[in-house]
Amino acid sequence: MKRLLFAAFFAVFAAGVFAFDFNLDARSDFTYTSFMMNSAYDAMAQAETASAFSTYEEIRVKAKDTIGQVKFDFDARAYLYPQTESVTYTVDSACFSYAQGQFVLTAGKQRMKWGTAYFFNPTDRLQPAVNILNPTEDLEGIYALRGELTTDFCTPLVVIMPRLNGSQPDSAFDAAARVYKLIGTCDVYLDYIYRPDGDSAGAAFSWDTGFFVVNFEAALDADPPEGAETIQLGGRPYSTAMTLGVMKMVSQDTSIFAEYYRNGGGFGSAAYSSLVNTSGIGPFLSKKDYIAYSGSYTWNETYQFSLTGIHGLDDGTIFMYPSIGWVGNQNFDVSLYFLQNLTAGGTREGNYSTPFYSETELRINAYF
Amino acid sequence: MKKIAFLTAGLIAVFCASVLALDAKYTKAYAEDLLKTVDKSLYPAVYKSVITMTTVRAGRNPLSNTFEVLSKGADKSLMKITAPARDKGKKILKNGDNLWMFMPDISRPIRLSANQSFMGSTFSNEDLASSGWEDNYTAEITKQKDTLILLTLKAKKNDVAYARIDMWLDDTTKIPTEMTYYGLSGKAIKKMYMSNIQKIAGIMRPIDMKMDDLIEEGSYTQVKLESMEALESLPEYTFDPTQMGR
Repeated sequence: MKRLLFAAFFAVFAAGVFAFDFNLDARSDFTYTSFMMNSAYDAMAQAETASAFSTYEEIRVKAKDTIGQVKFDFDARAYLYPQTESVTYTVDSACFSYAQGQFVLTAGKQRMKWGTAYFFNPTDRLQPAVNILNPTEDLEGIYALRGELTTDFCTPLVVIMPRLNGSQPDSAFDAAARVYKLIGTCDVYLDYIYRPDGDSAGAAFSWDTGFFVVNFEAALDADPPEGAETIQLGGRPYSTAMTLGVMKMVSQDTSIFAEYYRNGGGFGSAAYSSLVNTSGIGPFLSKKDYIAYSGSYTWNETYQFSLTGIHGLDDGTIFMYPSIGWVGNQNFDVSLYFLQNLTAGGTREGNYSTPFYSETELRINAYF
Repeated sequence: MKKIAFLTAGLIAVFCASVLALDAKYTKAYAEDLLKTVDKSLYPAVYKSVITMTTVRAGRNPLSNTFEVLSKGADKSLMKITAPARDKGKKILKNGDNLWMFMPDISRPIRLSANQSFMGSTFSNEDLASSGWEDNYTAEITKQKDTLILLTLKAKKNDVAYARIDMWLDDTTKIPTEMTYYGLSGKAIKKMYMSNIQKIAGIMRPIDMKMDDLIEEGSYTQVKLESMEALESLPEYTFDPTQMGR
């Protein structure tokens, strides 16, 4: 705890001395989980302490500064877990970017989110979301050297990502390239990611029709799992995945998202059952067909209501994620989330990918 | 009796003519030039500014935000929220008919539909992000009251936010004081008042603006220009959605 306070104090002091743009956010989180005792729970309990009640305190520090053509961006979070009296921290980004003309070079740990859809992003291969039910969940950056050039015609981008853990000795780095082009009111992205253990390519669109925004993503991945839907390119099989979604900001208070996801590389029901029978656990959202939707409404700038749902179309698995929040103060808010595994006990994915009946989470956030 | 009525009508006609008669200099060309001057008097061609926006809607809590604005030409602007702390870091980019929002937690641009109000305010995205009236409207001077003249703007094309704008401005300062916005149906939908004229970024400009919503009675948005700096140029990547995280 002392280290946490020291870090926060140091950040505030440094911001004052060097006068950079500084933010400090704090969060208290309390979660109660009603677990389902099965083989998936046993596997999870071996890897980490599974407790019905868990809590943490979080301090988040963000700092930015620009000196001439160079910009520095730092974003880190520290956690205190009262159950174990332990403190951990994660640096989400710590990078410099240098601009020369229309060219921008960014080096260091940075976030690189790709894709246009809200929940399912098959083209987001560099940094997949940590929690699909809450895409705004904190995301740790990756080490990369990134160059972008904005031209009148398009914006090409090249990324080189060094492999720091040495787990793949046959190559020291991964690489990616993307081209962005604005056509009318449609964003068009084409990307390619090179990895020695399997490359991938994707396309994403986001089009403002005037009435709502249509998002589409499609991706091809090399070295697909057995049983995956594939297409042949250059004599190699590639698995396919796509998302089609719509988004509408009905008003400043109300927004609606809906998406269909086809995961061609996902498990069929028989293969999923076989995996569960063998390992006792089934991966989350790894079957073939899903729909997701979300709606949120803010009443009188004070109370925020939202409902997110994910339905597995292959076996009828349903997760619902309603929440209610008090946002009446611009420096402080309180939210209560109720994650319901509605098909717990009823479907393979519902039973073995997330071994709980429900989770209730209280979050208190303060912004300084 | 008929004589009195005739005399009264005559007097009214003479009075109206004296009030509404236009000086000979107020030609179509003069009006078009005036519109260009007004465009420049509100916003420099390339600028950086800080604005505070407070929206009051009937029966609801007021909503206040502070933005740092980078703008280039009539249709490119990047607005960064600097207050309140909860929303700090969010950005809104407008480039022509395209609108994106960037939220630090999501770390990528999210396309929004351009046909909506700006941050729940009485302003449309077009009101805030562009000043290029001369590109979108024809101008004509239709009334005069001493040094105040009424500039009537009519849309050149269908895809602009308003079919007509009535703009009262002082011909000596060339700064608008009041504007009424009309929808495609011809109905007045918003009214803007500009006040507190001060020298900022080199010339006299209105510091305070208030936009009344004539449809939702009691609703309005106030904008205060905290600072403004005219810039030589801004790099194009500033308005590239792929660079919103920078």
